[in-house]
Amino acid sequence: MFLPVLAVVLTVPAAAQESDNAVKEAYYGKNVPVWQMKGEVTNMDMQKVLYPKNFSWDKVTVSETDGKEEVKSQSGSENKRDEYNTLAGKLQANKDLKALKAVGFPGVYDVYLFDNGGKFGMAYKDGKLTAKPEYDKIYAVYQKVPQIDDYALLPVFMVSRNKEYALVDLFGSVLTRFCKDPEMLKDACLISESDHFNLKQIIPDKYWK
Amino acid sequence: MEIKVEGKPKKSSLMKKNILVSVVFMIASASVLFAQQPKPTGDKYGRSSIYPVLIPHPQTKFSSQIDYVYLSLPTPDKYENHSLKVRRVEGFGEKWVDEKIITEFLEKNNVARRMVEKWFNRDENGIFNVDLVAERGNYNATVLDVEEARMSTRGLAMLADAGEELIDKTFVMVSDIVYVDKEKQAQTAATVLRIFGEIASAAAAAAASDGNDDAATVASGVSALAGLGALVASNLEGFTVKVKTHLYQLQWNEEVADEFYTRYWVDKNTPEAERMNRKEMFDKSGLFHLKYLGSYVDKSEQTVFKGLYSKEDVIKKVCARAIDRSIVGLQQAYDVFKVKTPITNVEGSTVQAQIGMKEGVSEKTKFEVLQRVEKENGRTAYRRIATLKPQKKQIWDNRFMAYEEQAEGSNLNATTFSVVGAANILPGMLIRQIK
Repeated sequence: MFLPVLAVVLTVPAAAQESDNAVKEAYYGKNVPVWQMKGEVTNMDMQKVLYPKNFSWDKVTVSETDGKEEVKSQSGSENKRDEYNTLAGKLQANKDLKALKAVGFPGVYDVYLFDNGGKFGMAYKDGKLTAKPEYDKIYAVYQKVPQIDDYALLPVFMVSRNKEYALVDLFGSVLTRFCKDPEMLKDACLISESDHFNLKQIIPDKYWK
Repeated sequence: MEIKVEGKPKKSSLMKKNILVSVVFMIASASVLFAQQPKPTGDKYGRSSIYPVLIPHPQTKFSSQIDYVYLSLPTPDKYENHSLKVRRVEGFGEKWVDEKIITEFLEKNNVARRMVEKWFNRDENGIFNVDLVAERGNYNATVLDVEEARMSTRGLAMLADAGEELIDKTFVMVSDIVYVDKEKQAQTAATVLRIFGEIASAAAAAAASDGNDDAATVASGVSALAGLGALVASNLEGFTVKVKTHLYQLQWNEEVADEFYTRYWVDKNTPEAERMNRKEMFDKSGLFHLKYLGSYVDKSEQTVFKGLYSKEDVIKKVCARAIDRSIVGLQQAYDVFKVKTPITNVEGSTVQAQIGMKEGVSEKTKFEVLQRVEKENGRTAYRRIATLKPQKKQIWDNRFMAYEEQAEGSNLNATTFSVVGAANILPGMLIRQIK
């Protein structure tokens, strides 16, 4: 199954607007490889969905969309907003976080974004950090589902730091090495095709080299 | 340690056989005087090589997080990285895998042979070279024209030395990591399903009602992951793992080396027909084996954090430290796995070395200072010239994330030792823990 994917900038502070535009110029409207789900995903295989073998890479077109609005539109109910405000309060109380500013969140997950002096991180709704504020940008990754003519949020984020990019899961685990170009991410996953066998298998030669 | 100065080396069977291929190392400098010459160390001092393998249990919680954390950890810095491409092999159920199953896996997948291939940079045509051996052994060596098809006594000695010093000290370290789940699996499953129910959204339902199975699958899969994330995040408190680390050693002795160089060695000058023949023989060879040394069990300690940390940091710290402790435990149990570390600084009766709590250094540990010497026949030997004791409050805490949590001793960059006994200790000499 090959489906178009939309990568959306989630963090859009005023100070970073210039570089944000640069990102848009670089990637919007162009062919950008991102992870796409393939095959059947069952409840039993949930965790494995995060492995590359369950994704395929393809060239897709990224639509120009205001990421912030996209996120807001998915924020859902008042409850969600209340939860977000409560979280913001908890984060503000963390003495290790300076100049905290909450900036937005992908509504489906219980993971929220925050801005700490120009560096972005993610936190769970209980106020505990899933990703330290060490990223210059955090991007959500959407997958177009043509059958329902809508986008589905994927359980990965693209983060940038010092002009390098990586994929992280919603738990904050870094899934790839940091690369200078997002196109390099497809070969940068920490878990490769060689890492999907079990102890009862004879692994073909090509996976060892 | 007594240095045995050997006489003329025995004429090896290697010499007797009219081998087509030979490899000769040439000492570029100081090659005239061999008798017990102290050897330089620097960054390269004949470190042991290690191939770490993870056995995860995908059915358990945090499995994927542990995977990514483990695979992002650097190779223990006192070892050379000898990893093959396969670094993760799934176990079964929620309990440690029996050692016999692991051993059988390694045998059936010819891991020993693949590690030899890596040592000699074997390419797709079956051609070997000794570049990696020379680099890791700091032999200051040059591979001569192999077309000459002859082996010098000197070259033989160097090869034997490399075998003993490097190749024989190649290990597979298999870490079987099990998350200690305080809840019953059934409860976990129920929670997951409940979260599905809350989030598995309208998209899935709508798609399904339209008879659109693909879309429903995708949408429900994504929603399920959202639920999983919540579950993972909220249950991280008290994150604990049990690690059983199995240690295997590559079997490389004179007989194995002899047969390898005689029957299987192929280089770019080997005639095509012979190359094909040897390549096939090597691929089918049962010559190479791993020896099971034993295992070490570690249960992660309570994690204490200061400052800013993320949930990934928690898993990273717990796993990294458990693995480091396992390495220390295995070193204490198996002498052959012990590492040597060079002395970086000497001041009066104290010396410093970049080794610390990660390697198990404590006030109770003792070390020996080894002088690396080269015997007349070109082989390396080590002579104990002094012993060392770590100084109080001068033990480097180099454990994973110790600096971030401002642990005592983490601001040092080496451990300071007091010298016991009189000896002329120089930077570059090696130290090794003793019992």
